[in-house]
Amino acid sequence: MRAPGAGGPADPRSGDVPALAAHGSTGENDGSPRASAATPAAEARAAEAPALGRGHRTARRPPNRRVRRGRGRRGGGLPWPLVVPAALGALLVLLPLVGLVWRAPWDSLPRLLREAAVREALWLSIRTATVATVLSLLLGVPLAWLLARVEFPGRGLARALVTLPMVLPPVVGGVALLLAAGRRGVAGRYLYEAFGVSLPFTTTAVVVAQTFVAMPFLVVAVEGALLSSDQRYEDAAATLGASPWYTFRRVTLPAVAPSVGAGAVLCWARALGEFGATITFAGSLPGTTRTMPLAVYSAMESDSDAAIALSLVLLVTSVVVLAALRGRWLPAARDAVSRAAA
Amino acid sequence: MTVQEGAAGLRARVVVGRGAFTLDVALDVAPGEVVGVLGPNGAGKSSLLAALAGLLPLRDGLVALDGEVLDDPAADWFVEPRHRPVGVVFQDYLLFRHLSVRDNVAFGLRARRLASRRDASATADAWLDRMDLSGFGPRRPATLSGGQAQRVALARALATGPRLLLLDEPLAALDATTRVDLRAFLRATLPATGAAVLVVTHDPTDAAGLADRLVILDAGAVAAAGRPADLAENPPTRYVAQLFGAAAPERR
Repeated sequence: MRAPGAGGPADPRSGDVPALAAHGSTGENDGSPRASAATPAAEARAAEAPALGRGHRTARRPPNRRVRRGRGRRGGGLPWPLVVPAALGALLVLLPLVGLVWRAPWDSLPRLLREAAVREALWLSIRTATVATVLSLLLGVPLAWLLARVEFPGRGLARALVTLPMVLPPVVGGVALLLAAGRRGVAGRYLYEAFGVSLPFTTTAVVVAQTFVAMPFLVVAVEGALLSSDQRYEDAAATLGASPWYTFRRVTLPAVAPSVGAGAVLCWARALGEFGATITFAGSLPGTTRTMPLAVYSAMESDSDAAIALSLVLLVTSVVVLAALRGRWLPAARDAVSRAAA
Repeated sequence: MTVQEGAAGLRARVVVGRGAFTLDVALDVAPGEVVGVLGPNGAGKSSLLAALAGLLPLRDGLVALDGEVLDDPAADWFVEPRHRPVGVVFQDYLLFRHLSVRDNVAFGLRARRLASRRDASATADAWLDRMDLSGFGPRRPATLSGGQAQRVALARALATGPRLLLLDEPLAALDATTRVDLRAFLRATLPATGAAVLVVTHDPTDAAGLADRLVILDAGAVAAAGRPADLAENPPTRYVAQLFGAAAPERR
């Protein structure tokens, strides 16, 4: 039923949006059984309807058109107003990636990746993205729990605001961070006066910028899973004498663990690719704040081979992340279907 | 009906409501007694259990267990579910999927800090033995049959030594053979727990087979109460007569 080109091939590049869409459907652990249970029914309907439609068509169309039956979509030929744009869309996504791989300086790649500046950026990126992910887990999971389980005034607004960084241009986030945590910022002023600490243009600022941009991905994943998980298990734990904290650790968290894992991977990938907020809030200081995306950008001006090499590393990382998430989600989806069937 | 505090077992008058529906039921259950709550879907059976477990606060009335008041809206007194000596066996068991059978049964002991990990596991295994589930400890709930899962849920509820045990449709999800076996098993096991036991069911046969005494609910109120045999032979109302008369064809 899926349009050609909308599946696997388009995915490698799909930093945020398709991955998020995929996550949206898995976030709903117990929602997906219903959704999946609905699918066979829909398919059954689809199978019936075309049978009817086919009768009409075979009556009207020349016999040779019937050859297309059974290929591609169930119930008729492929409509070109969908196929042509789909193919163009797939091309738009794939062509640049092909270009990147095509132009890659494969011979000098090992040498380029051993260069100090490259290794520095790589190592800095891995470190900061990992710390940002840990920070997001420590803050984002409780935040998701609060949004999903505790009723308080303005919860709807809080939900919307927490996810704002997902749609906010990252550079705007960087400016906001600068105005909040800068030496003369709303909060940064007191930080500087009290401790002489200035956040911007430090490695810590990179982590803060990455967390700001990436944590919502984790929050949304975990919150969705919490909302669709069966809260009666928490009731059962309460009747067994479990405190809310014990229930969270032993019942709630294990139930949404796959979504926490998927959210963390997504969060890490987003932090790794962070550019706009980082360059605005933390600058591009080699060894301190110049992460891989920033290194790619600055290398483009001088040494495009190094930029391509770094880009390849980021591309491979994205593909690996996507593959990891698929592997994580598919079994979960299968479980959901078998649970719904049982 | 007034509620006498200080008496053993459950003394309750439960008034809860959702929207236009109001449940108003007075109920006494002695320790070791098994009372069946029978009624059609929507009669308020599940609300009654939720109120007694503390998952649904009373709007009016009183719940007291062995003289200890658990819920008294007039006095603004409410004991949280986790502080109540009440065990619940849920209709679809709600076994924790990520925990082994043994850890499921030990859950209450660990949560209430009644035992160390090792002692809780040993106690859980002893309960599994009593439920004819020796050796099932390491298994996952997903690998159990319905009858086995039901007995694990019962063991989990009993492991903390509740003084009130609530069972919500314990036989509804089982196939016919398992149902007969488990009914006999519950008939032998439940009175021996020494707890006041309340079994909710929509099936008159199950209710008569399990309970010493029946309370029949209809539209949120007690329609009849008494020993199963008496009610069947001498139905006080038309509804009760229909219930027992129509028992066979209505059974699912």
